[in-house]
Amino acid sequence: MPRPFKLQSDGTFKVSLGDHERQLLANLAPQLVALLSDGPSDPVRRLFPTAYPSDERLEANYQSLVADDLLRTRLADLEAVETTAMNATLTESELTKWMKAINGIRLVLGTQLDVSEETIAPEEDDPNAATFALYEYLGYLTENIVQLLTAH
Amino acid sequence: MSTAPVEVEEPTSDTTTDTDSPWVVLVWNDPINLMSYVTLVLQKVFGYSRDKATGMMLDVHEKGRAVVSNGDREKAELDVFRLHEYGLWATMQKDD
Repeated sequence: MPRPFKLQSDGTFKVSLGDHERQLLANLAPQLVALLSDGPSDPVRRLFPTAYPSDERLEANYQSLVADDLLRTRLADLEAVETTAMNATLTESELTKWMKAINGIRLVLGTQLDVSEETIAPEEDDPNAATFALYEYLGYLTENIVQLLTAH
Repeated sequence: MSTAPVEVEEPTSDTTTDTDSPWVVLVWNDPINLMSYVTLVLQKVFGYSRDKATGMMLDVHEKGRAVVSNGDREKAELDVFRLHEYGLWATMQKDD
């Protein structure tokens, strides 16, 4: 299996994902966009962390200041994945958006699965098996992008 | 971060109201963000060298948290925001 992303001599990144994988990403991104657009909810809470755990007043102020900006960045990253999912190549900026968007989806899935550092893959007949496999796959993509962007 | 088990402490801090004292930005261990991802984010957000960012990431992983930056409240808040954009579990508190 080829590496999913590869740096080319012109500084862009070749995407070697199959149609099925591209379609998966193109479908996942708008699903999270829809969840985010519904407003605050348990599944997406992990994407809006607490800045001031011990000061309610400052925390409320922080959330009122940044929540919209955090949401806007998240949506822009996810929309970039949706619109470039079929691209043969990505720029470094696009690949960075992919990394943030894919990691955001992992955060939501991982929270939903309640993963811990000891979590192991569930049995095939476990109701969470498919979600866990998806979580692992997105981790594989994230790791690959991180390695490329770290070396770049 | 995914690999060895580490107890996660709940964020704690005092609630003094002296606004002049410096603030510290903490990153907390979480089981989802990859170790390599946390390192890269620290490099990108703060311009830290790979060695420095890796050292901080290992502190997060092994001790449950690490101070990654400090400054006045506005600067610390911006740093926290930028870490939140990447999905890191970052908080800020007064430096004692």
